[in-house]
Amino acid sequence: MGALIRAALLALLFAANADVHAAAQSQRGNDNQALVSQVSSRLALMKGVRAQFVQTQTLAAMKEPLVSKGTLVFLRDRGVIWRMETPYAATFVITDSGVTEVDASGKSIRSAGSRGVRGVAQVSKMMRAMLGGDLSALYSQFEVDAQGTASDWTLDLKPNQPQLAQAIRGLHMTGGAFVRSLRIDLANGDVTRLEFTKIEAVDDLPPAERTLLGAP
Amino acid sequence: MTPGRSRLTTTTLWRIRAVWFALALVAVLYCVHRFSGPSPLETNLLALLPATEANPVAEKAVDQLANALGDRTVFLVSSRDADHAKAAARRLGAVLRKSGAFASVTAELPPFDITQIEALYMPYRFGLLTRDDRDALAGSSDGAASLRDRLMRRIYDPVRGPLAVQLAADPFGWLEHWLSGLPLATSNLDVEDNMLVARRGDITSVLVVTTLRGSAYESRVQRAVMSAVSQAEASLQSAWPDAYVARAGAVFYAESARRASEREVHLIGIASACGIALLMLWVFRSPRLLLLGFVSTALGIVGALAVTMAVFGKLHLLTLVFGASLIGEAVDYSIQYFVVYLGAPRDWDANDGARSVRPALSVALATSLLGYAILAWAPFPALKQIACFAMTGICVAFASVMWLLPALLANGPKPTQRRLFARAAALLAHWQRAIGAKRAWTVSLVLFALCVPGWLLLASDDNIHLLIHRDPALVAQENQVRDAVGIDNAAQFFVVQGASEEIVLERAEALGAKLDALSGDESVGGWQSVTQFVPSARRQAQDHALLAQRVFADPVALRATLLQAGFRDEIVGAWIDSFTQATPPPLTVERWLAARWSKPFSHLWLGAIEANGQRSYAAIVMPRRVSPQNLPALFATAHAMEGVAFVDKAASVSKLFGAYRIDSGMWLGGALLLVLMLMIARYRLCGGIATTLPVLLAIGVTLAAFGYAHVPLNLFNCLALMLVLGVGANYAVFLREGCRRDGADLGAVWTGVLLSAATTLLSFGMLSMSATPALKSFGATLTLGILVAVLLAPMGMPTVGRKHA
Repeated sequence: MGALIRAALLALLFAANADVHAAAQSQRGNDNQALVSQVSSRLALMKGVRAQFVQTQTLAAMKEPLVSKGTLVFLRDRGVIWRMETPYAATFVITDSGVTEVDASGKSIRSAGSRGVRGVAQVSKMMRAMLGGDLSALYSQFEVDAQGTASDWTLDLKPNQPQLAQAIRGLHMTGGAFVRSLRIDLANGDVTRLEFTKIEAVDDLPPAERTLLGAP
Repeated sequence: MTPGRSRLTTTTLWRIRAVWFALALVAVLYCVHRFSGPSPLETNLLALLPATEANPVAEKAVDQLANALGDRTVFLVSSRDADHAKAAARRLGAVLRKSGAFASVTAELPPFDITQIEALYMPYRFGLLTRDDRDALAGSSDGAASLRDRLMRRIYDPVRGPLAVQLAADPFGWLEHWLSGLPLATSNLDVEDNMLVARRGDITSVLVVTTLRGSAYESRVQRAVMSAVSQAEASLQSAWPDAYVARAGAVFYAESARRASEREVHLIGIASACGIALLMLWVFRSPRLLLLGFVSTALGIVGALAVTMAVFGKLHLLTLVFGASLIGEAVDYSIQYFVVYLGAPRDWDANDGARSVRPALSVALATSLLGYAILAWAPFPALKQIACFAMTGICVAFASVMWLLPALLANGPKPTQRRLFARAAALLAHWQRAIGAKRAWTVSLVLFALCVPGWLLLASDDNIHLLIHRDPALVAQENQVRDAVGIDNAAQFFVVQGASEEIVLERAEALGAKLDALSGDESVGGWQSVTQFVPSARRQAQDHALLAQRVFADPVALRATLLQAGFRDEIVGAWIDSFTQATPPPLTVERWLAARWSKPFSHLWLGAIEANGQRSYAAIVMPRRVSPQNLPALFATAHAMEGVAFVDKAASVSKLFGAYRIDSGMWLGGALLLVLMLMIARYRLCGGIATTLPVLLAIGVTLAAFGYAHVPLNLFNCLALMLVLGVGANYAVFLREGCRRDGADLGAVWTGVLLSAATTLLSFGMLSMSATPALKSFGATLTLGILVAVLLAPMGMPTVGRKHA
């Protein structure tokens, strides 16, 4: 579950929009509230982001943490391209219509991954919906605790809905103008960490990437 | 009247009256008893449809599915403002819940522990493979290497859904794939704020689902639902004027059909009763005769009502509407009797009167019964009931004229309408000279020539909507809901049956594979089946065997692969052990049905079905897309497989309509022949032909009129022609019998015939205003046919004006 939540959260955070101001009003604590709205309005300034990521999964079943590296492209109106480079190369496109794995030439892979693309698409929709198509949903599902300043902040999110709490213990994020790191603590003890480096804002994408995201 | 001359003593008179009174009382009490209990009205429109499936299990499946879906009601609250739509949906849910009219109202989804789904499948996981995984495992040649590759993909997979299974229990992700392949939400709906939401353009729609407290066809349930709904809609209207509600559910169709029929029954019943009363008053100038006429008619209707309810249990709305129009026909018998009564000399003997009118009424009754008996022959439940109702009604009316009216009309007539009768006699003489006697053949030939082009223009229509007339406003709302939710029509599906659950599952799997193989225009774009949730035991055993062969055959290598990937020792050991330990019994349908989350899909499994004394099992496979392009392929697929039937009720009914429309032509011919023989037996060859000619021409002219008017002919027009034959033949018979009767006043007889025809035309004419196309066709055909039959009736009179025996 963690991975998809991660994807959904990324989309949410990078895509922060005006709704958050209204939503944040309901949070207790003025400082908290002010900081959250500053963070989200700064994030909302970006049209798109390109970054490198390092993902570390600490799983109960594994002897060692699983580490993967790659790049990430996010376009606010369209979605995320998740390119893993190590330990093996694979590209995933996460959009409104679901999640697809694509090969080097940009064709979607259906059978090889045998992941039941249709199922994942539904799952993706359900997840987006559960966490909220807009940011206000995030605030209705989590208690948000903000610390720091607008250029160096930390957000701690704890689920306040029992259903979500069955799966997630909490989320921890840091960042400035951009999100720098994300930690997801699952209820079963598994932990996923994501570190972003070489973050740059992008206004437009090369045609190949636009095509992947289904943009005109 | 002196007591000595009458053969009826006063005691006999009272005895007869008492017997009739007692019979009437019993019938009335029975009707009152039935109507005061649970409503005997059958408002389920589907009950009007005949059994179309050759296969009894398929027929039962249709019923069972309709019942399973029948108690669900869906509301769709839409607005351009998403918040308004959601708030309005919440309010709608609250108001409906508070009304108590529903067993359940779901606006906001209850919290659901999604791990319940995983929990059901976990013990059976080594027998559950998706098609892709199965193919991949079966196709992989380099065992260990491809396993390693899959393992890597699985553990580094960045995209996992809410149904993700713990790595420790499912290192390769087979179970996870299986779970994400479940057709849990194949629709346009999203969950937002715990509500089911569909967005199209700038419109946001929120779904509110309810279940009824009882059958959708109980008027008690209908009333409660309607009042709750109108209350809720009013409350929404004031708070969010921009939000609108569309609703779908069998209960709304049933309620609307009941209301429309009740309106029609009242309209037809009251209008024809008033019209008939005025006509009779005008002609007979006697409130007493009017009253007696209505007594006889009322006895007929009440008797018909009681017998029909006793025989069939429930009363179709169509029967009720048709029954209201039977008034016009049932009153004919008493009219004929009154004609004899009024034409009688001063020394009236009520029984002699009855005796003299008996031949005419008997022939008339026989022809009418014949017409209705043919109606009962058709395999349509509604027509059988209508026939039963009509036959009982006219028999009782006939009997009351024969035995009750003489007991009530003991006294002779007052001076009456001699002038009217004389005028009628003159009119008749003129009219008979114009069309009757030697001119009859010429007139027939001319009419025939006029009709031929009309017959050539005849077209036909066998649409199911002739019988099932749905309120167009409700259909529009249902389509709106359908579009938003993204559920296709559930009217066409496969029924898979077999002697055991396992056979049904195996056949359903085979069917699924065949459906997947359809491509291009023939593709169904997926399907829903119980096998997506519970594979057959054979399939589970095969999958288990496949895993044993391709994955667990070399436990040492497998262990090495998992350890190399980074799994902990004990995890690897436990997982491999869990496979090698005793194989669990396969997952069963019963086990699946026991899980609460299977409820929304449980209609896919029909379970045990008793048909023709044999017990078998059945399931439903629903193709997602059915179109005229792939329909033949679907029928062919079903045909080629044992135990599989494709059910398309609408198409089957239309086919049946067509077949019976053509058959009914033959029956009509046969019935005409029977009537002709009956007439010849009574009036000899020439007289018989002459008496049958008017009704034969009436049928011809009616058909031609439909041709000229470009009204396509349907089964119900054809069946109504039987009644044109049965009822229309009476007029010529009444006239002919009048001529045979000693001392009968032909003017009075003609007046009686015209009056009979007028009453019948009045009530069948009202019937042609019904909203149900079947009844409308009946009414229009009968009105036209009877009009022609009565106008041509004088053709059947003997050549020499008045013939004395």
